[in-house]
Amino acid sequence: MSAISITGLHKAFGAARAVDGVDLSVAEGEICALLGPSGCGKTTMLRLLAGFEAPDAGTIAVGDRVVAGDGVVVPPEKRGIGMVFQDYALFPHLSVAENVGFGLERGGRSARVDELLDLVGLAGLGDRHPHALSGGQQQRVALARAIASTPSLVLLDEPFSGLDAALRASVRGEVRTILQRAGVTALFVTHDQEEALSLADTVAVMHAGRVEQVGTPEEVYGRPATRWVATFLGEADVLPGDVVDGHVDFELGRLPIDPGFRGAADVLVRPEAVALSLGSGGSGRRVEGRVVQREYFGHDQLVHVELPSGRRIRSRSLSHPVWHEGDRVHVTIDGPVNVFAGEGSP
Amino acid sequence: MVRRGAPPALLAAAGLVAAGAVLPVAYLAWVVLGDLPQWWDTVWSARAFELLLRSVGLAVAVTAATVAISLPISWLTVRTDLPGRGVWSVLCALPLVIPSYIGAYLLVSALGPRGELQGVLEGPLGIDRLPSLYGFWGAWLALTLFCFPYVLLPLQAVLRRMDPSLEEAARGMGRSGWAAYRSVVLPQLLPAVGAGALLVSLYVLSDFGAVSIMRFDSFTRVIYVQYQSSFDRVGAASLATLLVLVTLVILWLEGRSRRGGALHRSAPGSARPPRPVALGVWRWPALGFCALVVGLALALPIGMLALWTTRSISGDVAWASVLGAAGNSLLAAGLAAGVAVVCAVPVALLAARHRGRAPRTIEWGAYLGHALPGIVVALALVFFATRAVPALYQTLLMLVVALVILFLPQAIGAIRTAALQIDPRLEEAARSLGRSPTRAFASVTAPLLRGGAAAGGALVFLTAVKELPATLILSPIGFDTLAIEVWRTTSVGFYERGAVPSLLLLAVSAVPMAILVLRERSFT
Repeated sequence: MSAISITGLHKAFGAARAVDGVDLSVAEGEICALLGPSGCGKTTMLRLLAGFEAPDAGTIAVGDRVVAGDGVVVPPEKRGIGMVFQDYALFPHLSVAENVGFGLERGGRSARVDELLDLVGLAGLGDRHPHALSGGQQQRVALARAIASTPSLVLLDEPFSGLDAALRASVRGEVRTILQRAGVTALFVTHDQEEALSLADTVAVMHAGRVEQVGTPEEVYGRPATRWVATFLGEADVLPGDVVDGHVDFELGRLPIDPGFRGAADVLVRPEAVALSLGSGGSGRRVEGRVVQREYFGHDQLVHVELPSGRRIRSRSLSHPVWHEGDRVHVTIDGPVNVFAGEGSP
Repeated sequence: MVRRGAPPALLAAAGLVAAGAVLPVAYLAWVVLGDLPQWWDTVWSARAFELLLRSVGLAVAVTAATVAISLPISWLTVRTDLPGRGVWSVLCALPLVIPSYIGAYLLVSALGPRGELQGVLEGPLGIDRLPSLYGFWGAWLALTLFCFPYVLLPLQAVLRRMDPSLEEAARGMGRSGWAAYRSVVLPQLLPAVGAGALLVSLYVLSDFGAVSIMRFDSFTRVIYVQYQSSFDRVGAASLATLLVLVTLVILWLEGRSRRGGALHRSAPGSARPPRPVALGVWRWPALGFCALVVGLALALPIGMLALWTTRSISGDVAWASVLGAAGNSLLAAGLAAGVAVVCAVPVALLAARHRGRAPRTIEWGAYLGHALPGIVVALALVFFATRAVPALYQTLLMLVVALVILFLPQAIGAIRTAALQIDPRLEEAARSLGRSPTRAFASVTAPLLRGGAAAGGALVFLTAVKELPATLILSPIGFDTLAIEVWRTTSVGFYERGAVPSLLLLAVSAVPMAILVLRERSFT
C-alpha cells in the first residue's frame, strides 16, 4: 500500500501555477526526495500535503485516507503528519523536552520524550531551551518532535539548508538512520541533488509545477526521462546526433542505442562516460581533441576537451594520468549516454 | 512569509473592533454634514489655519525631540556597559507616569516667570524675572519630557530581542560600530520608531492638559473652551474634523514608511543575548546625557511635587474623597486596559501578518480614535447614548468605552511589535502536532504575545488613569477620579491642594509601570 497517493494535484496563486497536475505515490517506509530548483512548486507540494494550503483540484491520500480532494480538506491537526520546518520552528518559550512532547498526550509523555531524545542522541538535554543548542541539535529536536506521536508520514522542508557543509553530510546520515529506526515514511524537499541522491530511496524530480520523473536515485541519474532532468541532475554535455537504423551517429562515434524515434537527436554525455587516451586504443571511431582546461579535485579531475567540430566536451576521470592544456588526446565513449529527440544543440 | 489571506474569524473580530473605534468619527461626520456651510465658514478661516499651524508645529517639534532623546538612550541602556544601565532604564521610563497637566503645572511652578527657581535666584543674583515659559516652548518642553518613553520603550524592546549576529555580521564586513548601527540596527528599529513617533504625534495633537496649563492655544484647548463656554457643538466638531484630517495624513505617512517586509527572524534557532559594547571614556558624556533627561523629566517635577505635598499636608487634606477618587481611577483604568488588550490582539495580529486593503483599513480605523481629542470622543458618546441607548448614559461603561477607543492604538502598537517577531511557522508547527487553530494560538502565539500584551495593557492603564477631558465629561455623577480631583484644584490655582491627589495618581500608575519595566528586563 502507498503511504502517499497524489493524483492530478493543482494549486495556483493568482496567475502562477505552483503545482500543475502532479501524480505521485510513495511506498510505505520509504524516504522520498522531492527535488527541483527553487520556484518549481516543491514547497507548495509540501504545504498541500501538510494541510496548510488547500488544492484547487486533485486528491491527496495518506495511507487509505483522503485528506484533500473530493470536497474534503482535512485540517493539518487531523492529518497525523509530522513536519520538520526549514527553520525548525522550535517553540522558543518551551524547553527541548516540552517541544518534543508538544504533540503527545499527557499520559506517558515523559517516558516517550526520553525515548525520543535518546533516539536522536540528545539524552540529558531536555531541560535546555532551543536557543542553547547548536544548529544540528536544533534540527534533531525538530525531527524528534515531528516523529513523537508516531505519524505515518513525516515531511521535511529543506532539512539541511541551515547547516554548514561539513555538518551536512554527517547529519544526513544520522537523519536517515533515525527515520529508518522510527519506521516512518518520509518526504523531503530539497534543491540539492547530492542530498536527494544520497539520502532518498526514491527521487521525484520537479520542474515548473510538474513531476518530470520518479525513480530510484540510480534511475533518475542514469536514465533521465527528459532532457531537462538529464541537464538538471549532474553534469552533461549535449552533442547533436542522428538516429539511423537503431543506431545513434554523432561526433564521437556510432552507438547501438535505439531511442524509439528517427532523425535528429541530442546526445547527452556525462563527463564520467568520456574516456581520454594518448595513443591508439578504445573501440569505435577515434576522435582527436585538444585539452583546453583542467580542473583538479584531488580524487579526480575534470578535463575540458575541444573536439574537431569546435564543440567542447568534459571528461571526468581519476587523477591520473595528468593532462595539460594543449595536449592532443583521443576521445572515446566509455559508459552510458542518453539520447533525446533533437531540439538543436545549445 | 506573509500569509495570503486573513482568516475570516480574525478579520471579523478586528473589523468589529475597528468599527467600534470609528463610531466617534462617524458621529463627527454626521454632525458636520448636517450643516455644511457653517462647517466651511469655520474651517476655511485664518483662525483655523493658524490653529492648524500651531498644533502641527508642536506635534512635529515634540516628535522630533522624543526620537532624538530615545535613540541614544535605548542603545545606551540595552547595548552598552553604561554604569547602572538597569537603573537608567527604569528612571527613563518613569516620566510616563506623570500626566502632562501635572508635569506642566510642576514645571511652571518651578521654572515659570514667578516660579521657585526665580525665587532661589532672586536672593543672591537679584534676578526678579525669568523668561516666560508659557506658550509654544513651554508646551514643547513639557510634552517632550513626559512623552519620550512612548518612543523609548518599544525601541528598547526591539533592541533586546534583535539578533546580535546581524550587527556582528556587519562589523565583520568591515563596518565601523557606528556604520553597523546605521546600516543594520537602525533599519530594524524603524518600525518601532514609527510606532512610537505615531503615538507621540497623536498624543500631542490630542493633548489638552499641558497646552492648557502652558496657555498655548492649540486645537484641543480652543475646542474645549468653545464647547464649555457656548455649548457650540457644531463649531467644536468642525474644528475637530480638521484635526482628524491631520491625523489621517500622519497615519498615511507612517503606513508608507513601513511598507517593508516582515521583520521576524527566520534563521535557525532563537536569538541569543547580545554582548554589551564597552563605552570607555564616552561613558561620562553618556551618563551626563541620561542625568540631564532624567533630571528634567523626573527629578524636577518629583521634587516640586514633594515641596507642594509637604506644604499641603501641613494644612488640611480631605482624605475620604481623595481615597475614593483613587479607587475610582483604578477601576476605570483597569477595566479600560483589560478591554483594550482583548480588542487589540486581533487587530495587531492582522496588522503584523496580513497585507491588503481590508487589514490596512481595519488598522486605520482602530488607530483613528486615538487621534481625536478626548473631548470629541466623549461628546460623540454622549450623543450616541442619549439618542440611541439612553440606558448607557451616565454609566461607567460609557467612560470605559471612551478610554478604550482613545488608547487602543497603544495596546495595538505593543502587541504588533511582539507579533512581528513571532514566526508564523510556529503556529503551523503546532497545528501539524495536532492542535486546532484555537489551541495552537493559545499554546504558542498567546504565550509569545504575553510580553507585548502586558506592555500594551500597562500603557493603556497609564494613559487611561491620567486621561482628563473625556473623564471630565463622561464620569457618572459622583464618580470622581484622581484626574478630576487634580484638575478641579489646580485649574483654579490651588496648587497645594492638587499635590496629594497628584501624588496618589503617580502611586497608582507606578504599579503597572513596575510590571512593564520588570517584564522588559526579564527578557534580557
